[in-house]
Amino acid sequence: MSEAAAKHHDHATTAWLPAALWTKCRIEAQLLLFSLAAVNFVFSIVYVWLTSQVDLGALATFLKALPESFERVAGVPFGAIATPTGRLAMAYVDPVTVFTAVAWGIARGSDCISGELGRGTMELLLAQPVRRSAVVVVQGIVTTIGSVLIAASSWLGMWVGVHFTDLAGSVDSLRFVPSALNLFGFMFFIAGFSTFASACGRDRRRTVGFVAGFYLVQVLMKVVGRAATGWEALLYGTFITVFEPQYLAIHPDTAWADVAGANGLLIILGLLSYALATLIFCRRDLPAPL
Amino acid sequence: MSLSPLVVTERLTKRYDAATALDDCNLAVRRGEIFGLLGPNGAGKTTLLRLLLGYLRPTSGRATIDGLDCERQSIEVRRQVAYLPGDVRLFPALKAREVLDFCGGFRDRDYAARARRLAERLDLDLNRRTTAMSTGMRQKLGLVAALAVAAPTIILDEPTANLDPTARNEVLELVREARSCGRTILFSSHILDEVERLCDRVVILRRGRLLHEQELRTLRQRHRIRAQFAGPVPELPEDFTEHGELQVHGDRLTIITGEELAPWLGRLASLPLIDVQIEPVGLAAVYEQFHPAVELTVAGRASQTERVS
Repeated sequence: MSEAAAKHHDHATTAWLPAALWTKCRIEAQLLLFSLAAVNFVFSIVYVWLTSQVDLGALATFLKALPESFERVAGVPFGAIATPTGRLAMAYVDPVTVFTAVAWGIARGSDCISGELGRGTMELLLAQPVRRSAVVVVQGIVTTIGSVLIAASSWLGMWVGVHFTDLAGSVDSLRFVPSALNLFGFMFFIAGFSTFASACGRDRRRTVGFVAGFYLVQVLMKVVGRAATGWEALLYGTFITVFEPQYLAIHPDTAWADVAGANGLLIILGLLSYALATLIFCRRDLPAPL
Repeated sequence: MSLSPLVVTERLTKRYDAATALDDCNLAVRRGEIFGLLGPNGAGKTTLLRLLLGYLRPTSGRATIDGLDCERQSIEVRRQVAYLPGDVRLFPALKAREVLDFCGGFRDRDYAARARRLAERLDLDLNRRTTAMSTGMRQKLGLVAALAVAAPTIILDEPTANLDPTARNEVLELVREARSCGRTILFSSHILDEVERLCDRVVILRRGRLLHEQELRTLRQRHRIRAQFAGPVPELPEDFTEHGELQVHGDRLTIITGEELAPWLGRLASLPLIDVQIEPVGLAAVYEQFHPAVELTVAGRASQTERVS
């Protein structure tokens, strides 16, 4: 190495995870993060308020009229849903909450590699002396912190709602902490899997389409596995089997052990996805932007 | 100071299934020179640059920059290199200043000051969001981000694309200044005129193969003399063939020479001429040997025919 090169080398950053990369990821993620966290927070408050307005006796009568397969799909007995805690627990599997979680995981995961490649910004990013592994790791950590904040906003919204409605005396908000943790595990896996899909492609839209398709297949597998007799084996093929926040809230005695097992699996699968994504990204050719 | 070449490629090859993007490329870029890469789209220029930066893994062969292996020591290589991509795309969530902060985060402490000075020279507003910038402004920002890096090697892939003439001249001047500071520049461009004005040496690529290497200093000494006679070209003295390459077409004589022009004027004065024109041979003539305009025309017509059918 020449003298000039050695001098330049001494002054340039040698950090594996440079501060500049953190700042870039934070700026890119913050708008979506705050939007989704705000939606979750407000939705939880509104959900609690609406629940406080519902006549749970009438709800119980309505639920009894539904077929038994509906109860199996719900994952908890209808009797439990007709209680204030059970009814509030269903907020964690409400389409709004699930949509925000899936949107966050897919949006951030898909952006990591195929997003940068598709936009052509990977050129400028890797023109800097940054390791490819650092690109995945920093993005993964920022996404994970975001997942924590979104899950926390969901729980916080519920806590605020419970404390400002008639449910304050009948519901313990702490019972929803394992549910919020389960929501975090769910997001962690989706983000990891999306990052893996992102590492295999160069077009973000295709990554989003692939992961959304995968997610829908997994949902269908769970629904069919629960509702149809003889198809229970499908439940072993879908990660959504271990996403049961409503169950955790109505079984406080086993909730912490259950969430540790469920999240353990989701986090292991998520970490495996991130590891595969890093391996693929570090070995692949980076095509010129189209 | 070491005199070994800074950038070296040895039988560097990149294949994609059946297509060969770069074939058996041997190259040695000397320290402190501006080295041009010439060729049409698909010639392999960008593939070569991407192999040097470690974006692509070679199918065979190897490339080094300052002794560092471009594939295995890509991080160290990129510490030594400032790179401007061919088609600058900027992070859409960031403002221009934030893009420079990002790039500066990997470089030395003086990066920000140098970037600010360069932005002023190129008349660039750093407070704009990158999504609100025109193509030319994005190109300028990419140039500022690359040229502010105090690295010994600069790789510029079509740096003057999308720039107005004033900014283009400013960029060429910045490149010359970088060379005067002892830095080595790899310069890829389609614009023959600016390559000719700027580069010390060029290579011409075609379909992934390196076809010709040209020292520009030698080329600048070569001239073409076109002479027209009142009738057929008469018998020429023997020293004509000794000092130049001759082509005779009817009443016209073309001489290409790399020697002093004054003796040629003396030789020509003894002949019955009606017109004489003298011009530098120029890079365009060399380029056309390997990429004839007729080939482009035929290709253009073929693609038009395909579109019509």
